[in-house]
Amino acid sequence: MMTQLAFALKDIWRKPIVFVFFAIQLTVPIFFCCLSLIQVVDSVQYIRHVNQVSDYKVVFFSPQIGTMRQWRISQGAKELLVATLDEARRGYSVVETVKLRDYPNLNIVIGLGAFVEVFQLRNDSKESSKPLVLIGHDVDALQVGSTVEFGRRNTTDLTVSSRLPQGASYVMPGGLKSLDKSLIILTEAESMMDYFFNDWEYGVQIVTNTCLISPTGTEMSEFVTRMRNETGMALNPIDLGAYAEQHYQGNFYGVLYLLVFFGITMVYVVVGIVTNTIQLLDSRMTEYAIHLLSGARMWHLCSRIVIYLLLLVSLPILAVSWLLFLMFRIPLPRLIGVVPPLVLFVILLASFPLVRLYNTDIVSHLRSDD
Amino acid sequence: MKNKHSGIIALMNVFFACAMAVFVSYIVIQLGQALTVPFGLPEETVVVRVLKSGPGSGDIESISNEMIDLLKNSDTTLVYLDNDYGIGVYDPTGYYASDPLVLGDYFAAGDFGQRIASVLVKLDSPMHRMLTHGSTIVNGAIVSVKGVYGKGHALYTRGQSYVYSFSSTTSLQGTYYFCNNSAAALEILALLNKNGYTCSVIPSKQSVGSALRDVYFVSITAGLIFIYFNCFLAYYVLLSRYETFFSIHLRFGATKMTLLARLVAAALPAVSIGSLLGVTVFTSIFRSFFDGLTSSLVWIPITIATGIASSTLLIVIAFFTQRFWGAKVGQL
Repeated sequence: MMTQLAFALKDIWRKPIVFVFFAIQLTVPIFFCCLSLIQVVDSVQYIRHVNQVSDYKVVFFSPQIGTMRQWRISQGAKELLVATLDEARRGYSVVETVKLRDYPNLNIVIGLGAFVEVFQLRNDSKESSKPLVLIGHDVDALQVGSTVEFGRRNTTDLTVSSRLPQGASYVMPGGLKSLDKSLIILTEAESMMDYFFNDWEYGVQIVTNTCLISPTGTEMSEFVTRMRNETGMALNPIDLGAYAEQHYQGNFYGVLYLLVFFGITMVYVVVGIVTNTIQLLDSRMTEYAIHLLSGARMWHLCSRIVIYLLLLVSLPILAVSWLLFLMFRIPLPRLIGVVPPLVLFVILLASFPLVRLYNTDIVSHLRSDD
Repeated sequence: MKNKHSGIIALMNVFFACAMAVFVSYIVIQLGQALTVPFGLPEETVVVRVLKSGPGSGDIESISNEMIDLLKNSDTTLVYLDNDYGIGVYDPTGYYASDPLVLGDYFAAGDFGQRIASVLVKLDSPMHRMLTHGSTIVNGAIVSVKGVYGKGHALYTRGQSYVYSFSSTTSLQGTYYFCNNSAAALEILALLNKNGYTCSVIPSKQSVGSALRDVYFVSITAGLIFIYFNCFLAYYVLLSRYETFFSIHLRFGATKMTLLARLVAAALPAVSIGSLLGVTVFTSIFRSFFDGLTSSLVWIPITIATGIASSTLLIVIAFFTQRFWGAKVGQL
């Protein structure tokens, strides 16, 4: 095999510019294809989730930043939240910044109101008024049956009741948020305020993250007016569907547009590499014939071609993967996962030249007039 | 030319035309956005981005009143894009008065001088849905609705939900579009500077160079060069199969030019069909994407023409660069 590696390196050395040019040609489309694909997947997931909850006609609120200095959480505001989220279940809200003392590194999501119904999370074990605790699919620090201490003013021990299936997530205006690595506490706005009494930060979060479900114009007007009077927040309602269409659908087509372009570039580069390899074979036929007559086997010749292609393809793929892993903060040891697609890609590239090699009477090239 | 080879050329040109369509439409979209002044404003529009950068003496209301006083003495139309979801306008001359509204009327000249909250709301926005008895709620306050505007209005944007008279603004940070470089505009900038705001004038239109100086344009251009190269390589290999054919014809009196003419004539239908098919498929997939970005369809014929011309050129280059020309010409 080392001999074949040496021959493959010799093939590269004979036309190094061609090798480098094809390596660069591979790097650019692979990078942009991967980047576009990641963004397409993100956009598709977000739009799919928004479509799933589209029956709820969710409206979220954007607070006017200019009024921030006047914000407060009054008793009236709490009553409005309890009435809207807990009693009428006409909306849901989320608190995302709570930390548990025993698990400071665990991401905590507190879902209030109709959060469970809208995002179709399991709620069959909720019997008491106590908060229900679920864990995401990838949470290792806790298991079903583990206990966590919850609350600041009042504390209570809560038992993890079940594990969510992989891919569970919820939609916020900023994007789709995965619950796979989170601890989810499902409770009511009233209980939340009881556990974290007078905690201004969480109160503001509950208000600003409140989303109303299929609100009528009157309901929106009433909510916005009362919130303005009770909290000083000037909230402007925005349709989640229209927002998703504006931000993610536009983005989806934009990246799909690039994906199509770089996909086509990739197809042409693959055609170019295969053509170049076939030309390489044609120019080495006499050499192959001498090797075969000197005792080499067919698989020796094949492995020389495969090694050549492996060297050509592996550098761009590994470089792009390394860059993308750094960009998306994926642990570098996972680079090993790139090996199977790399091998498949090499097999794909090598298949046509190898079939051609097998179907050629190589020894006859020694009898050629050339 | 063999049918099989015509099919290969047509298929290659479907992809080639799609790639060309991305390249050409990208340029058209970028240039269209860069060379158009927003909100249908004239070319001499001055665009200023304003940020609060330090403490100032006046409050927002008094500063905006001073700004209105300065604007009153000029014929400057102002469009103000705030950092929330509204557009403020100062337009006593009725620059936008003739733009069609879905319902109601545009602001009267008197509305721009008073701090009376009245708005135009975007059709089907939550502000429109909250409309009852001629009023809606904006920033938590009840305001009267003068009219409802839709997609056809010059002030329509995807991100903003309502248009209000600048005299009732509650914020001064954002982007200002003054329709001309009047003394009033300069005085307003001085006033904002005095009150702790940083004003940076940005060009209302970009230059062609700066519009195309982005990483995507560079990478798409690089991608197109790669496509050209590999397409040439594929044509080269395809034409190398015709070595014997060309040799026989040359031996019996054909010239290189007559062979080339025959080759181009044989390849052109496949190239044209492939290009047309590619652009049609591409346009039908991305129709809704283009609707929001450009109304111009000029890129479609440009793409088809460029695709056919460049593909034919590659065939010609591949023909002339064949190795079998030279010593072996005319030999069997």
